Amino acid sequence: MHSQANNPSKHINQVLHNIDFLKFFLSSDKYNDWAITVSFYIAVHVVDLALINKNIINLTQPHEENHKYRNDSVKQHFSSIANAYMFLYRKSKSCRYKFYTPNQTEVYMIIKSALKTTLDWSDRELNTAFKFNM
Amino acid sequence: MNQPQIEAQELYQNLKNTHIIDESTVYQYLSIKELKEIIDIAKREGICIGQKIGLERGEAKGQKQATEQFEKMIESNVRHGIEVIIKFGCAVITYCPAADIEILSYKINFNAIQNRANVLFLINCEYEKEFEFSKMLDSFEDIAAEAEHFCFDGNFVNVKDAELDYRLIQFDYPISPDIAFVKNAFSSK
Repeated sequence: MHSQANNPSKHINQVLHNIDFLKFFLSSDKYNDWAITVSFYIAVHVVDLALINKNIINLTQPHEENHKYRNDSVKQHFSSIANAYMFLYRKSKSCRYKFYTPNQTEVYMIIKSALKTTLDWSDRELNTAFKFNM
Repeated sequence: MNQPQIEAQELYQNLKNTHIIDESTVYQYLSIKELKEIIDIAKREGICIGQKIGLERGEAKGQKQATEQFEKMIESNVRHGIEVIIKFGCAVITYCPAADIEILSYKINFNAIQNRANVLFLINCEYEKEFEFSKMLDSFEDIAAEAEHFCFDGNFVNVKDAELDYRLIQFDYPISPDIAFVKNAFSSK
């Protein structure tokens, strides 16, 4: 499972893939609950990419699966996206407590604030070219 | 009885006092040499059993001591944990701008051994205010980690326009202190 975890291009591809997926269903408003989860996992791969690029961590360590460890790393090393990342983490985690109700405002707010902040930061700091625009 | 018979009888008497032979043993068919060997085996077994019993007593004593130490540690951690958890909730409720965000309840899942707690606030607010609430949780999580060496995983659910699975929430966060108690817990200090 971790064989490709230290490969930056795998994380970039996963971010692009998840963004495509998000765009694919977002316009329909039918899967807004999943939009939150997908947004969070886009951010997860951005953070993993950042951890590799900055040589902070070896993602083959077993504890890398632990969200707590990733959360702490973001707070410690990438403070400019820490609030946005933690917001996505919380929204994604608490999704399971909500029965689905269509709510465009909530989803667009998450995407246009927290997710955009994270991806813009990545383009700036990690020289990626996600050029997020939704 | 001749001498070998007397000797065999004595040996048998010795054997009877051990745990590995009884009346049903066909001692009379065994040679003196064999009986002596059996006695030696019995003695060695006896020593082993004695050592085992001693060890078990030691283990039992050790287990009791370990249990007592464990109980003390748990009790101390629980006391400290509850105090920190209430303090955390109190801080969030106090600093949360009540006009913008209504905190409806505070729910907890607490691991006393690891000094960590998952906490969930049920809130009611406009979606735009959620990010501010999340930022506040970040701040208090950091403070608790630094000042209390306590790890919080703070979360929230906005009840606005939402139908919640309260059964699942209760499963994940089984402890629900009274929100008024949390709010006033440190007001007298």
